[in-house]
Amino acid sequence: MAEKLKVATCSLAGCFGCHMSLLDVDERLLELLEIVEFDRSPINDIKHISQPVDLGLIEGGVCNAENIHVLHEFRKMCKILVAVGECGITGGIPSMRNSFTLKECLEEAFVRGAGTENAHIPDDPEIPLLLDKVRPLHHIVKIDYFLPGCPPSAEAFLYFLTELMAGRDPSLPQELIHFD
Amino acid sequence: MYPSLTIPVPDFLDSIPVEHRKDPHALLQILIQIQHAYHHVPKEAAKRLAEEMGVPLVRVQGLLSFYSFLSPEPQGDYVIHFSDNITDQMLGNRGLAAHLCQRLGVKLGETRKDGRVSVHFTSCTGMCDQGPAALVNYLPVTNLDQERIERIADLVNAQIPLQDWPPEFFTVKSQIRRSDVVFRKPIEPGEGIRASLERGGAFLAEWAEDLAPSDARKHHLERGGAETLKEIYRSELRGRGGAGFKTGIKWESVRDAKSSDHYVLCNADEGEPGTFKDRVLLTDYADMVFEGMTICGHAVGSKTGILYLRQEYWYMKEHLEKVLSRRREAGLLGKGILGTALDFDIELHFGAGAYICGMETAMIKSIEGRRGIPRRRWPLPVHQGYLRCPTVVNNVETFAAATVISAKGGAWFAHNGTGQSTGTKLFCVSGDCERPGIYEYPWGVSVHEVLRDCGALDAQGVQVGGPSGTMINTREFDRSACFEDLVGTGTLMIFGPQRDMFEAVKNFALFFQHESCGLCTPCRVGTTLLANYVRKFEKGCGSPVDLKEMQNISGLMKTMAHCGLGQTANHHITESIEKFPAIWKGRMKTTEFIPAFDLDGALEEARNLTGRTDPEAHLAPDHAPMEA
Repeated sequence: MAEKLKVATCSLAGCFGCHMSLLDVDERLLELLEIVEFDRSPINDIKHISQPVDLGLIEGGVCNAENIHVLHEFRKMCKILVAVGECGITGGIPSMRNSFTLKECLEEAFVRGAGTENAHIPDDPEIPLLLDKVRPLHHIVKIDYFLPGCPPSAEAFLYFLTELMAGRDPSLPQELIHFD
Repeated sequence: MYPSLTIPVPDFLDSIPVEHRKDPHALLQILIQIQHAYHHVPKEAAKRLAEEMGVPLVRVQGLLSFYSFLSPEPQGDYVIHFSDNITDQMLGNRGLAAHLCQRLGVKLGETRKDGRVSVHFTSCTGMCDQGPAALVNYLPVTNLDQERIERIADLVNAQIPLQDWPPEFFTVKSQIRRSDVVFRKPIEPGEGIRASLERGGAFLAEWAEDLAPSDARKHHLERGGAETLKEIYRSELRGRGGAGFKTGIKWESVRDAKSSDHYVLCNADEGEPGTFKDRVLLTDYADMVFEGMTICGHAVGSKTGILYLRQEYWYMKEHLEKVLSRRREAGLLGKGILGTALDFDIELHFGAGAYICGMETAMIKSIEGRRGIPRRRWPLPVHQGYLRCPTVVNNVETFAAATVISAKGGAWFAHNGTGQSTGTKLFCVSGDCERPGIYEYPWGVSVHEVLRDCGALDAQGVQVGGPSGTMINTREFDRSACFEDLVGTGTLMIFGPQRDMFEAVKNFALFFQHESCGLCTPCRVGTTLLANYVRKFEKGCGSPVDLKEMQNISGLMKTMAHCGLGQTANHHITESIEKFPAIWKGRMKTTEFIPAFDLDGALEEARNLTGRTDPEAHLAPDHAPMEA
């Protein structure tokens, strides 16, 4: 049989909902694993992409410095990079903070928040610095495909992967991108 | 303080006839009056109007947010709008506006603290051949230069009322540089409508026997109208607004549509930047335009005509009303025109700053007192237009041509021009040339010939038909202006060899972003994305990836946008990429995608908040991503 499609996935400023939806393929995961092989992914807890892969699936937008490092690693190592889900494509829910300044957000959470003790904005070097605005992925790197949905359904993931494996340009049919 | 700004709002509203105040169709026209009186629409006035008209307050607020010359917030006693077309920019309007702001101590887009003055930019005001131009309290001031700006600053600071400003500031010249067969010897007032009425022929004896006198007169009128329609067909006249639809077919559809009322609307919205022929026609040949509308009324069986003017042409109101009343006195308008059974009269309606209102269905909504948002063109306005009645909507120049055709005959008219574009056309020439202004040529004239006549043989490019039209380079100067080749509104904005065409592209992109009505996503989002990409290239962050994406977006807009605005609001992008590739390539510092903003700079706010300086608090420039 043909060589397996090497896939890496990650969640940046997302909720892991897209990954949960991917797992909703249920028992078909076994069939899926016949054709794809996961590299770095929260599913197997591999921390870095070990070698160049065919496909990168990224959920979530970009909200901090670490997200940028990860996104750059993916762009460097993935032949095809896909923005998965609302947050990856538009910034989504996390980008609702964009209508406030970062100072307002952090002070609301860590200074003025109810029951806050030792009120101060966290400054530990362990914590990645936040960007002034939450960005969709395509603001930072070139994105090859967008897989819409909040989250995209398991069927949409399957359809996308099988089309790509078949060497076709994945274009989702209406029923997979019709949400209301 | 301006005296007019101090009238109590209730008194002002009381002065408006009550039948208008109760008619929601008059809403926009009343709001314009209020805007002129108070330089904004006070909340109190909006509320009372909504109550009297029996419409929700949001309907009033909807108009305030849609039309750019209506403002819910107070403006200065002097409201100054600088025209910001590319032709104004090439003549230095940006520097002049900045200087005026500095002299007046006011920020652009804001009102000075003492409420004296506000300064804004606005889309093209139609004075491209005599720019840089501005509107001061909605009246055009042309040929701005350093000296005029200094004077304006002094006049505003000294609170001199506008009527005491130097009258030459407000001079608007017609600048007709070349006339051809139509405008060399214009039609005398009455000549066209008389010819149209006379086509009814002699009263026949048998009518008198068979019909009552009033029916005979009606029969005579209808026969004349039908004959005039034939002349329009014979002339093969096509609409002068840009789309070039056959006028005869349009008129006949309205004539045949069964309804108690039919309407004749004349579109003088003329918002396409670089276009100013309607302004000149209405200034020098208003009779021909009104007469064309009357002839149309005769041909299609309508009693009411409406001339819809853009707000920028408010200054012509008095002049046009004079022409109308002169025509009424001469028996050329009103009841029983020239002693026949023809009744026809014309009213003026104004827009309030919205390019989209040049689109016929948007214009109809605007005349009905609504937000000018285009609707689907089915049913067509010829079947259900203004007030859902059969409606002719034609351009100013089309009606002027109809007058000529009625007076001189369709065959005479069709003699000029090319096979599919008969007659002559007015061209609006502006930009880098020695003699900007209006040029009349038979259709089919080559761009090169126009450039030669206006003194611009060194041009590197011409924008034909305004931003929504076609951008051409020197290799295409032999193309001819006609419906078979370069169509459009007859607008030529010329760019000399010293110009950076990118500036034009940027101007057009920002123009469309501002003027999209927001109804459909391809246009609302597409125009913004295109403008963002143009800004990205301006910053030197563009790459071939972005260029390809701009073309994708343009293709989407072309096929998916709801109306002509969105479908054409990408031409400047695709055509400049094709015809002036250097302006894009020259701005690419990278072949690979890079963000439009500084990544490390995006951490600056967080660094300041946390006081962190460790290496992890920075994104090194070598983080520029590598493509796989």
